[in-house]
Amino acid sequence: MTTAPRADPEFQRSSILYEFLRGKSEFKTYLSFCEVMGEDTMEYREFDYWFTRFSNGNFGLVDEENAVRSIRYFMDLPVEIIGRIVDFVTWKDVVSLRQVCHDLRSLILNMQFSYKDASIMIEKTSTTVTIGEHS
Amino acid sequence: MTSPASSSEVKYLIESSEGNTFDVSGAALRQSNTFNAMFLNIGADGPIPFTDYNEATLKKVFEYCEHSVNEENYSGPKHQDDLSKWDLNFFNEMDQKMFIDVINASNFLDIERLTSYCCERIARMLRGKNTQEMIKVITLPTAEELEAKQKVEEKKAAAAKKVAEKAAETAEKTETLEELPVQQLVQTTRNKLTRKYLSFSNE
Repeated sequence: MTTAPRADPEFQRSSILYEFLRGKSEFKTYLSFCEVMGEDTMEYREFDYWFTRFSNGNFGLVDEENAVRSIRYFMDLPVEIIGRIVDFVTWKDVVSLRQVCHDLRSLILNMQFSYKDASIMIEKTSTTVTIGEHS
Repeated sequence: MTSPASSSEVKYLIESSEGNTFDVSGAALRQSNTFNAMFLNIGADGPIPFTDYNEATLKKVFEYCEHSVNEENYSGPKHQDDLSKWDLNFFNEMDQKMFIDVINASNFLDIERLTSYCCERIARMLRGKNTQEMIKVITLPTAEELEAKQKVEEKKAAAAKKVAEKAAETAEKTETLEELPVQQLVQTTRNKLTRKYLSFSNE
């Protein structure tokens, strides 16, 4: 495959359509798309726009709405909403989320989590830490 | 076209940011605590302006409200697996941009059920992903985008400052104009009283 078709937006969209028709989940499809087409070929927000569009039965490949260009950022959501989203994820996800960006890190640092249960099991050759869901 | 009566037959006109209006039933609108606090008891003359949100977003929000009119009262978040087929389709139809718009509108309108489901839905998008994958899912602005955004905000602030200054200027002018007749009135009354006093003293 030469680089030219990869840079062609319609070719990219038809690749998304092909992957969509295979019925894989959206994020998995995105990862395999990036693997073949290159990491920086398309941002997830644009991919998501096309994937959702195909899910809604619109299989046109022309960007007539120009909707991808008006961007909404996750971090523009009100702080209380981001807090509620964080409440719904597991503690492992919270650890990953803290490293996403500085704003998210300081927001999470200011949140208080209480966990329903936690246990530490120390054995001869290993230690297991189990943390339950936070409430 | 509104009425303070809380009959489910009542239709309210909603105005979007594009200036377009559309009908929403009273029963659907009453799921919004913001609406209940602002308009339910007093009614509204003409369309209700929710002009911070576009038509597509508002229609999506009220589509959800119309659908959940007959559902039992909201009692905490429902697990995503317990959502009905209609609910799942409703969420699957939205791309990330629309999702964020709907959450913002739902949060402003204080529709607890919708806001909560949207938050859980986003949390599901993040669950089980590592930081790099989360960065992909969460749209983070690039340095250029941040700069452009800052410029837009600065422009907006400057425009708001100008409007505020103009308003203050107009208020000052109005104050002077309002003061003038009062001063004239006081002066006229004073003159009249003086004349009366003089005529009494002459008698």
